Amino acid sequence: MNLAQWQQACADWLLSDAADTALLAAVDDPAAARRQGLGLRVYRNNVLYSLCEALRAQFPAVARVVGPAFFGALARDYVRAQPPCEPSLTLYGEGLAAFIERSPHCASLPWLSALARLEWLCQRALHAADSPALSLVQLQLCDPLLLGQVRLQLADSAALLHSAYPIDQIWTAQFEAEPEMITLTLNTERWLLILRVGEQAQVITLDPAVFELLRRLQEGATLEAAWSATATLLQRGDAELPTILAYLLTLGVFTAFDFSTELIES
Amino acid sequence: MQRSSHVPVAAVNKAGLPLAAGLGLKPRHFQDVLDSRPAIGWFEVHPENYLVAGGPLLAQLERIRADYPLSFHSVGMSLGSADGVDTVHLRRLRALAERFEPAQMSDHLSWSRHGQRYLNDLLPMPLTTAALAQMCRNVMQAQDILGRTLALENPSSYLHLPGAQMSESDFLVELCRRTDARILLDVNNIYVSGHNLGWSPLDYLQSIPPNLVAEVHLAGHKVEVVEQDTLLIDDHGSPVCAAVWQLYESALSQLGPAPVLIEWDTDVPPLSVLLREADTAQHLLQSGLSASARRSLP
Repeated sequence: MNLAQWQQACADWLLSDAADTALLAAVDDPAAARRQGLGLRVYRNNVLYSLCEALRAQFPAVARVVGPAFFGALARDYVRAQPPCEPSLTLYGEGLAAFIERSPHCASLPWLSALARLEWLCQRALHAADSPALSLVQLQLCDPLLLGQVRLQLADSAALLHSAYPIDQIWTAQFEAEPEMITLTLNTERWLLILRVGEQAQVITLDPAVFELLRRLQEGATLEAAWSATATLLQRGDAELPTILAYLLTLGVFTAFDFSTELIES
Repeated sequence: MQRSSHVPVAAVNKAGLPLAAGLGLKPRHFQDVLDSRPAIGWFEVHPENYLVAGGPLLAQLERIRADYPLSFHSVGMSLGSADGVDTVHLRRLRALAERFEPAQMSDHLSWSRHGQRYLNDLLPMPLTTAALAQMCRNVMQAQDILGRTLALENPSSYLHLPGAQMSESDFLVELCRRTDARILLDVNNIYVSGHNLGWSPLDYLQSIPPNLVAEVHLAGHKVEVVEQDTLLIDDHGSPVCAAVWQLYESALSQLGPAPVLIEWDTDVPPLSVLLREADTAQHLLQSGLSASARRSLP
C-alpha cells in the first residue's frame, strides 16, 4: 500500500464503524495487538469528538433542545455523511439544517431544521465582513425625487428567515436555565432578520411587510418596485414606508445605496 | 508559485518570537487579556479559527496583536498529505499572516486531509523514506506560498505504523534539514508518545540538534486506563505534570533555551491559572538562560 492508498483507507476507516484489523500491522503478541487497536481508536475518537464538539459550539440551542445523547448521534451521523472539506470549521455546520430535514430520526421535530438554520445564520452573521451601516443622513443626501430609484445594499451579515414555527422563541428559551414550555399552535409563523449588531448576531422579529420589502431589496429591486410589490401583496398603505425605512436604518441593515451602476459607499 | 530556490524564504522570517514564555490564547480570555494586559511574552493562536471575513474575532485579535507578538500555530496545513498541500488554504493563511504579522508560523509532522475530506486531527505519518520525501515536497511548497519558513511539531502518537524505516525524531530532523524548516519541540508529546510507543523520551531529546529548535510546547495530558493497558492522551486539559516539567528541564539543559508555550485547550481554566503555568515555564527558562550564559563564559 503506498502513502495515498494508506491515507485513503485511514480516512475511510476513521469515518466508519468498521473494525480496525486491516489498517494494523500483523503482530503475533496479543498484548501488542491490543495496544495497537486501542491506539488506532484514539484517532477515530479524536476525529469524531472534535468535529462533533465544533458542531455543538455552533448549534448550542439545537444541542440543548434535543439533549446531549440525541445531538451526539445527530452530529456523528452528519460528520460521517458530510466531513468538512476545509480546515477552517467556522462555517462547517452549513449543511446541518438540510441534513436534519432529511433525517428520519428528526421527523417528529418539524421545527428543528429551521432552528438549525437560524443558528447557522447567526454563526454566519458573526463572521461576516465588516461594513459600516448606512445612516439616515447619508440617505437624505439623495434627491427626494430619485429616492424611489435607489437600490439599497444589505449588510453582509444580514439574512432573512421565514418559519412556520416560533423558532426565535424556541431559540431564546434554550439559553434560559429552565427553558419555558412552548406550545406550538397555529399562527406562530415568524419573519426573522438575522443581523450582526455590534459584536453579536441578533435575531430580530419583523412585520411581514418589512420582511417582504427587505427580501425584494436584497434581490436587487429598487425601493419603489420593492415597496409597490410589497404593498400590493400585503395590502399596505404608502404612508407606512417612511416609518419602515427609518426603522431599518436604525437597525443598521443597509450599508450602501446606488441608482444604477455606481455604488455610493457609506 | 514556483521558485527555483527556497533559500531566500528563510531571509523573509522576521526577528522571531521573544525568548520568553507564551500562552495559547482562547477567545474566552480575550477580554481578560485586554483588561489586565498580563506580563506574558507572546500569544499563540490557531490561525484556522480566524479565517473569517470580519466580525469580533478578528477585531479582538487585532487589539491583542497591538500589544503582544503572535505565533500562528496551524492545525490544518496537512503537510503530510499524499495528494499535496491545499494551496487555497495556504493562500488564505498567507493573507491572514500579512495582516497580523505573526513572529512565527508552525504546523505538525502529521496529515489531516485526504482528497476533499478534512479530518480535523493530527494523524500519524508512516516513518518511511517515501513519506519523508512527500512531506519534504509539501513543506517546501507551503513555505513558498507562505513566503516564510515553518516550525514543525512532533505529534502525540498512539500507534506504531507498519513499515517504519526510521525513528520519529530522525524523520523530523531530516525533514527540517531538507526544507530549512525548524523544530517545534512539544515536550508533553515526547512524554506521551514515549509512554504509548515504548521509547525513551531522553533518547528522543538526544537526537535533536539544539540549533534546530525554534519553540517548545508544554501541556497537560490525560491518563486513560483500559483494562490492562494505560494510554496517555494528549488532551491539553490539565496542568503540566511533574514528569513533563522534569523532561522540560532536561530539554533546556540538552538543547538550550527557546521560546516556550503553555497550551490548554479543553476544560479551559481562568486566565490566572494559565498565567501561573506560564510563570513556572518562564522561571525554568530563565534558569536555563543563566545556565547557558554560564556555559558560554570563557
